Amino acid sequence: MKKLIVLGLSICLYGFLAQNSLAKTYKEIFWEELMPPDWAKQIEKDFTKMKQFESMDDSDPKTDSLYSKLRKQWDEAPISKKYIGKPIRIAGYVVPLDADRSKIREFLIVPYFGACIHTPPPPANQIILVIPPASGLKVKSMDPVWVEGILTESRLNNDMGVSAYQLNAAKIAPYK
Amino acid sequence: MRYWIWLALQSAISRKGALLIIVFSTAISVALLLAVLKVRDDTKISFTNAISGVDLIVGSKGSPTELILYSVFHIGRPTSLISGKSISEIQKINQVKWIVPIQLGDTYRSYPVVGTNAYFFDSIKAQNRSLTFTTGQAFSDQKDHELVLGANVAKQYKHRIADRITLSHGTGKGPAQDHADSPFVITGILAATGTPIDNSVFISIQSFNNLHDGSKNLQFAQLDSAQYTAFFIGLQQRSAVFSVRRQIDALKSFALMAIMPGVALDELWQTMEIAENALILVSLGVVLTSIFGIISALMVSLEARGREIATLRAIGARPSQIFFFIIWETFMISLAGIVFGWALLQATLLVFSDWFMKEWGILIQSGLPSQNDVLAILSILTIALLCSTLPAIKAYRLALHEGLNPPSI
Repeated sequence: MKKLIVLGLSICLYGFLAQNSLAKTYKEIFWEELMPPDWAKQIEKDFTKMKQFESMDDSDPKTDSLYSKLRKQWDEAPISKKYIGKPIRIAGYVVPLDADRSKIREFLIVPYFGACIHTPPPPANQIILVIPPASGLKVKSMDPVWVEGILTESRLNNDMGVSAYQLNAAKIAPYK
Repeated sequence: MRYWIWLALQSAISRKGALLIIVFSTAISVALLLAVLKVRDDTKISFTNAISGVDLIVGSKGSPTELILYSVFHIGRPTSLISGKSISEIQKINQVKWIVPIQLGDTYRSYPVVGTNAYFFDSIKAQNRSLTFTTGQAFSDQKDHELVLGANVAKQYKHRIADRITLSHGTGKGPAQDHADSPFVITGILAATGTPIDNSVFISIQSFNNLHDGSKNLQFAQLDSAQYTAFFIGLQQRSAVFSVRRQIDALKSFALMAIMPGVALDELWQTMEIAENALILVSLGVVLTSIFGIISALMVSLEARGREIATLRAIGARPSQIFFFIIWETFMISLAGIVFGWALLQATLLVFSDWFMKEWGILIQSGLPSQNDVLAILSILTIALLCSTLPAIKAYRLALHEGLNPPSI
């Protein structure tokens, strides 16, 4: 009898472990991990500097130039190589690209709601281009989703280009 | 059973005047509900299949929804045009891979004419597939008076390669609006895509400008001096879309607006859903009203049919048989109304589908009812049958003596 219980328990344990390891195939990552640490530190410094300008008027040309300088820096933000080529799982909000409303339309995911539509877009390393699988999910603007797949780096043919994240999704699921 | 069907039919025929009106009112309300469902489904499909591969659409500052409606779906018109001088400025932006200019305003037998360059056919995709020609090829940007037809336009007028056709200015409805002095030659016909491209006629920017300059001789206008409705833009890297959009919005001397087609379309969608639901609610109300119409008409007629029912009882019908007799009658009336209503809608669609296509760019086809339609029809029948228990119970209770005894004076 005891033997049977031990056997049953070990089967359960094995099942649990197996399931766990299956879930681990795609490592869940957070958006902060996609920023290179040095760059993130620099941005933090810039923000504290920005605090000094808070009293400045919006129409002040100085604010304007500071803003566009910061904006340019964000648009050219470098990516972190840590997860390139690795299977990841990440949650984000959908920004659709094509006017075609189908399961195969490509989209971007961003870390916060309203990003790029009502509020300023996030830095380039906080945007992932998602290439959906053949049997994708019909998504619309600002839907929260889980995306699983191999994270890759999309680089331009010419050398001056900045590289960006791309995810060839194996699975897209609604965020729950 | 068969006998009861025959009896109910005969009974109905003896009261055909009133019943026909009831059937007709049911038919109209059913047609209305089915039409709303149909238009909703078909517009959804029409707006679902649009262009892909375009990362940004540039137009003059205004509403993004309007910009996508006129530039992609050819509905409405721009408030102002954009200057060709901005092309070189946009080209300077690092990530921009290609720009395809779009000019609108002319028509060919009410199909929109799109002025663009031959690059359109290489860059624009429909459902992630590149455009292909069934016959012929793209027009040459270097030659005047050449055009490419969308699949539907070619099919509608049975046009072939090398046919000569005449375009009209504006909607073409009015005197002296033809560009009859400069006929065009068809160089290619596109394969069907299920998008607004199928209903368009494409000519080169140069031809478009020459048409409107009034000069008959081939003088290729400088691209810079032309005015455009919109630009379609493709990027080297799709994730750079925010950065490029910001840089275009910031071009101070042109007052341009760059929109992301996917986002703009989703916003349009959200607006449409409200109107859609309101329409469905209203037509459901109409259907309910007409069902209650059937029931109340039956209730009233029962008063006059006391004798008929009493006769049936006298010759041996059980009360339960009278009950089902009335339910059966309601079922027949509703079914007749539904069938008639559906036929009415199909006939209307057959007549107007061409007009819908041309005026709105929406393909509404007659055909077998969709899954939603069947569901709607079944629920109408169920509601009608449930409601018909009221007159049926009344008939069940009608006492035998009430109908047969002479009224007491």
